[in-house]
This record gives sequence, structure tokens and C-alpha cells, in this order.
Amino acid sequence: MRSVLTYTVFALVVALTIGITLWAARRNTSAREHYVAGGQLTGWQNGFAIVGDFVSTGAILGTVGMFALKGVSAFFYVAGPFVALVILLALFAEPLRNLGRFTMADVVASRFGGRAVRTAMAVNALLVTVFYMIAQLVAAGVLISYLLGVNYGVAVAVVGVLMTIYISLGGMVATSWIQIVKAALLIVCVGVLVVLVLARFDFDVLELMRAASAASPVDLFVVPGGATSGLDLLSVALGVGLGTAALPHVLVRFLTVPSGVEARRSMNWALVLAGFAFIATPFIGYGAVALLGRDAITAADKAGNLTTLQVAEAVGGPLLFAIIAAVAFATILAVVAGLVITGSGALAHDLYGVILRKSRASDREQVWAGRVASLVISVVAIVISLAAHNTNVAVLGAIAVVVAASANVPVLLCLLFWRRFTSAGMLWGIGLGLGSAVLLVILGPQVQGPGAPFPLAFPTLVSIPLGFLGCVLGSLVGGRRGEDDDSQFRRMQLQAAIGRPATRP
Amino acid sequence: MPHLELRIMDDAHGASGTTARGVEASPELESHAAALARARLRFAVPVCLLSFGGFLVITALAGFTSVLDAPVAGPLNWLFLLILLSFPAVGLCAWLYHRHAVRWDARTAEIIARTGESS
Repeated sequence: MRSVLTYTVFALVVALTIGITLWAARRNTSAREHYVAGGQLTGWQNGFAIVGDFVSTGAILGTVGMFALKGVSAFFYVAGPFVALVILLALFAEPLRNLGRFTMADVVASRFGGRAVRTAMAVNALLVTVFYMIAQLVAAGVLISYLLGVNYGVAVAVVGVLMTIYISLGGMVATSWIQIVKAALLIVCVGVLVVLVLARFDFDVLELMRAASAASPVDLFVVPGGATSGLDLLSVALGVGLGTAALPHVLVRFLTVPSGVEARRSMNWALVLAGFAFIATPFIGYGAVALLGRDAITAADKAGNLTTLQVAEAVGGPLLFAIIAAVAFATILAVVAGLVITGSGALAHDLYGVILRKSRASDREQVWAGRVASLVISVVAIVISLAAHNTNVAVLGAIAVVVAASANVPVLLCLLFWRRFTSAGMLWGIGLGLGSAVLLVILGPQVQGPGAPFPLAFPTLVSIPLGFLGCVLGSLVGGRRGEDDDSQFRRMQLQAAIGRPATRP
Repeated sequence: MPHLELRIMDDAHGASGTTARGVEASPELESHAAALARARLRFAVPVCLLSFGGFLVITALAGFTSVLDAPVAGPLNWLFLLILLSFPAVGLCAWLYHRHAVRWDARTAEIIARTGESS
């Protein structure tokens, strides 16, 4: 059972998020506010919010535990996404912000009209978002039931109800500010924790590493060798790296700033803050194994997901434990809220607003549709999460990042920079990238167990090339290019450059 | 090359907030936009290949060989050190990008100012 202190800090964090939501609800009156916070976040605000999306509980709790138990191979799970931020910054951040309105399908629509293209992009975003959300919710349920001593169903329901309140009342404004506050808390907590851990070793990093090595029966500084594990490591680095950076709820963050310059600024903030949080993880993980020993870590949780909290208690006492537990809780809430907004954009704005209502819906109706869509997505995700307890949800998270890497990256790259790309190429690219990603994960060891027909847990080494192949083949053989295509491409380039949407008279 | 005439749609469609002003799309602006996309690729492709590609090379060396297991100082080996160094390398890439992007922005603003910004 947990102390009164833990409950109090949890209650404070929840009260803070509800306060933010009520404040945001007064602003959340138009569709633009609901989906992209009116496009009025400043660079640093959006930078913190990106860090909020990027540094998930998996990164802070899961990676630290992996460092403590398996060693340096955990580094690939945080360094991959971090290095992929270069690609996000240099190729995508500003063009996406200049072309998008509410969703990634809007970015595609700035070049290709037609319902099929928008539908494909929206379904893709919806699939990735819901899968990722279920993985987060199940992890949240397990964590919170442990921290608060309540059962799993209650924990999932609490997270679900809170996220529904945030979104339906506060929309993207509330989601963004919850992310910002949470990211700031998280950075401070990580900073305090890493300083306290290092202080135990007189700030001698090598001494910390030596103590960790001595305390661990496995070598914490090498990765297991061999051909399959080499391929596995490569596909993890590629999949987790590119995939995390191309998740729809991360890309949508660029639509919440007023200009390309602010999009760039927000990336600079995100790089500094996420870099700090990520680079701290090995020291906390190694510190944990040196201070607590491996047995104490595996006794609390076999996968080591509670390592960060254990080490917080060891170096900072029950107060630091309570604070870091509450911040981890806030992290889950904020990431899930961002996912719901992104999913509701795909469902309410793309599929309902543009495809079904043919863009004739009033602003009021759009806000209303967005709220209903959020509710539907939340309920579906909660029901599946309740049923999915004790199943391997890592596979859903894996499908989400692999689809994001294999469908989004090739399609967006071709869309922005390839003149001969066509809407048929886009459909083929999404189809092949998404289809092969889902199929190969299902045929792989995460679903089939050892001896699976496909040997790699993350099939990105195969599915990303297939996504590109789909884009190229579809463009070359899938119907002729229209007369309009070139001028449409130039129009998109112009908008991507000047950041102002325009139409032909 | 056909001359496109552009006009700004109302703010509900725009993403540029209240400061949106009409831009007369001259052929010069249009070719500047195309050149900008090429410049972005010229910068980003090598930088991304070096950074993310370099990271994948480290990954492959770690997965398939044991050359990076050699110690640097105490328990610290090359693998850990190289991944650690990829963080400041990302910072360097971002700084280089920032320098380029500021020049691109200045050029865009200059062309818009010269070739006609309607009210």
C-alpha cells in the first residue's frame, strides 16, 4: 500500500491538469482551437509540448529499467528517436507547418485532391493512433494499479475519464498546456534524480559505471552479438527512431505554431530538452543497479519498469518517489490526450467533415463533431484496453511505430520533394508500407513467439523499402499524370516556402 | 511556365494568423520556391545520411561485430561513448540547419518585398 503522501501528490497533479483544462475550455470555441490550439503556440511552448509527446513513460521508466537489467542496448531506444529528430527538423518541420491545417491529411490535400487520398491518410493516422493509445493505456493501467494499490480496471477507467474530460472540454489548448507543464516537471525531476544519483558516487561517472558493472551479472556495456540479433538491433534502431519521429501526434504538433520560424524554434527547444532527458537515462539506470542491485529491481517488476521509482525512493526518499510517480502518471495522461486529439482530427475533420459532409459543416458543427469523435475514440480504446490486460501490448506499440515509419515517412518525403509523385503513388505507398508493416509484425516473433516465419520483431528493414517502392511503382504505372499535376506541385512548393495558403482565382 | 495568381484565403483557412497579406506570385517567387525545396534537399540529404546513417552504422557495428566493445577508460567502451557523442552531433546538425534556414527566410522575405506584396 502506498502512503498518504503519494495520494496527495497524485491529487495535486490531477487538480493541476483539471485547472488547466477549465482555463483552456474558455478558449476552446472554434474548430481551429480544438484541433491545433488556434495555431498560436510560441516556439518554446510547442518545444516543451513536443518533448511531452516524445519523452513518454516508456522512455523514462522502460528505458531506465532496460539500462539497469540489459545495459547499453537500451541506449538505442532513446538515441534512435533523438537522432531522427534531425530528419524531422531539416526535412519536415517547416513545410508541414506551412501546408497543414488540422491534420496530416490536410498536408496531403495541399497537393492531391480527391477523397481516396484523404481517406487513406486519415485511416492510416487513425490506425496508428489507436494502436499506440491502447499500448499506452494498458501500460498506464498496470503502472497506476501498482502505484496506488487499485485494481487494473479502475486504473484504466480513471485515465480514460480524465483524458475524455481534457479533450472534450479543453481540446488541443488544454492538451498542449498539460504537455508543457508535464514536460517542465519531468525535466526538473530527471535533473534532480540524476544529480542525486551522481552525488552517491561523488560525481565520478566512471566510478558509477564501475559500481554498476560490479553489481550486475550481465555485461552492461556490450550488446549480444550474432547475425539475427544484429539485424534485430538495426531494425529496432530504424523502426523506433524513424517511427517515433513520424507518429501522427508528433507531426501534428507543428500545426500548432503560427509560422515556419516558430516551428524551427520549437524543434530547437525540443532537441535541448529531450536530449537532456534521454542522456540522463543511462546514468539513472546504471545508478539503480549499483545502488539497489539487480535482484531488488527484478523483484519489484521483472521487466524493470519500476526502476526509476525505486531509485527515486532510494536517493530522495518518499517525497521524490511520490513526485516522480505522479509525473509519470501525468506523462501518460498527456500523451494519451495528444493521441485522442490526433485521432479525433482524422475521424471528425477528415472522414466526417471533409469526406462525408464535403466541407460544408459549420465551425460549430466541426467542434461538436470533434468532441463526439474524441469520445468515441476514448471509449473504444478504453474497452479494448480493459480486455487486453495480460496480453502482449508491446506488439500494438510496435505496429504503430513501424506503420508510422513505413507509410508516413516515404509518403511525406515523396509528397514534399518528388515532382513525378502522383496520388496513385500515394495510395500504393500507404498500402504497401502499412500492409507489409502490419503483416510482418503479425508474422514476427512478437506474435508468433520464437521460430516465427519472419525473424525480426520490428520489420522496418523490409517495410520501409516497400513503402518507398509503393510510392515509386504507383507513380510510374498507376495511371497517367494529369495536366494539372505539375502546376499543383509548384503551388504546393510555393505554399511550403512562403507559409501562406493560396488558391488560384 | 504558367503564371499563377495567388490570393489569400480567409483566416479560417490560413495558418498564418492575422498578419496574412496578399502575395502576388511572380514567376520569380515561384522559381525561388522550387529552388528552396532543392536547397532544403541539398542540405538535408547529406546531413541526414551522416547523422541517422552514422547512427545506423554504429548500430550495425555493435550488432554484428565486437569492435566497439574495446574499452576507452575503465568500464566505458567505444559503443557507449559513440552513442553519447551522437547527442552533441545532433545539436551540431541543428545549428547548421538554423544557419541555412535563416538565410532562406531572408531571401524569401526579400523577394516578396520586391516583387509585390499586395495589401
